[in-house]
Amino acid sequence: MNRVTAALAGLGLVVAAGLVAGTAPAPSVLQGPIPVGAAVGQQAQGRDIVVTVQGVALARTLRSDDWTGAASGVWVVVRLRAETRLTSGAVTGSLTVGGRTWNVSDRPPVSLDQTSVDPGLPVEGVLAFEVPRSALVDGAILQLGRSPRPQADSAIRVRLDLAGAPVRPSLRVDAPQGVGS
Amino acid sequence: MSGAAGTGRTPRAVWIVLAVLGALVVAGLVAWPLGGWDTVTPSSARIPALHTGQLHRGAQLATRIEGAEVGPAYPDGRTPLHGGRVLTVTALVEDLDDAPATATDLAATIVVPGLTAALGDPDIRVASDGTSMGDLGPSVPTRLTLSWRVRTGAYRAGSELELRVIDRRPVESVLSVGTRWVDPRVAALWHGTLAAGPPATPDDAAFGGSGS
Repeated sequence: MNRVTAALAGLGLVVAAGLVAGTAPAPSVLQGPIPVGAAVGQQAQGRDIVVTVQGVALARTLRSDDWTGAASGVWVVVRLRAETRLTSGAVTGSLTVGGRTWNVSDRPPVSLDQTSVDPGLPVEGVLAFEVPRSALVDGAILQLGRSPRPQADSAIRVRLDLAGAPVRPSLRVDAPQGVGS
Repeated sequence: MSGAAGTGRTPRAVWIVLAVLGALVVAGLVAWPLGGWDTVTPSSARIPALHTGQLHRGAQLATRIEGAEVGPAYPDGRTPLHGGRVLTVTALVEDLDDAPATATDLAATIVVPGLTAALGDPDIRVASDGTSMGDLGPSVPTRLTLSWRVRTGAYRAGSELELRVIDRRPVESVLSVGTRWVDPRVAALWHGTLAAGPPATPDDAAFGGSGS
């Protein structure tokens, strides 16, 4: 191998290394959620979660048996049926609108994410998000999973169209209830 | 003639004067592009004052301190499980970032000098309904109460209190996805008078609250 060949080989290795580095997945892709798309009313299944978003309602105030909570903006209330597949634990989520993200609110004491959901035992309940009125637009992305931001795990993603939906003055929310499978 | 003049050598005093003048010239040249020499106030003395009801906009959170009080109980009437009294700060807080501010972020935003490290993080609740505050989402201004358990006698109603409002800067997280807020610094100082806090709820007082 003469010097020219060696130089060309070295240059080729540098270019190849650059290609590898340039096309490597970003950390957010490597560690981020594995999305599973679904629509309202459609059952979606992830690695350790099965959910069906049954409906969405908007309200200024939520109330349960011994709690009333007014939102600074608006409550987005998602009613869903959920079960886990492998392990018991919480089912929770986040709502993303225009690059801004809200996690499930801890305020409603009857929130589904404060209940442990067991494998094969579906429950129905609500998750509530406290958002500003500016977030009531079409194309909001509801993400459901075993944590608000699943890492390298399934995330059920459901598109919600919130523009023009009626905002009720008050809405009653109830504790999660088990249902027959 | 005698001495230095007699031998033709430059006197030592002349060299000293030249050295001093040279140092001044160099110092002037260094100072010129930096704005010149001036008497300045140390940055530590320039922390802006935050008045009651005045909004402070940090990089992550906007904070408006509305008052502070000390009393036997938390805002909902619970008393501290392990005794002592409760120092409560009421503040309107808004997340200015695109991602939720965690309870840890909120707890680190308002600091009572000399207190936080000793007695831990505050109990943070939504003022309107007393529910525990987890994450605070973007663009939802929320009135919060931050309550610290304090030693009996450490703070009294009517005395002066200083609060530090902390700001941090965002960096991309390495070990996980998202943003971390680092390099805390005191961005504003609030001074006010402690009001008397709420009385304890009799039932809770008998058994003691969780305090957390």
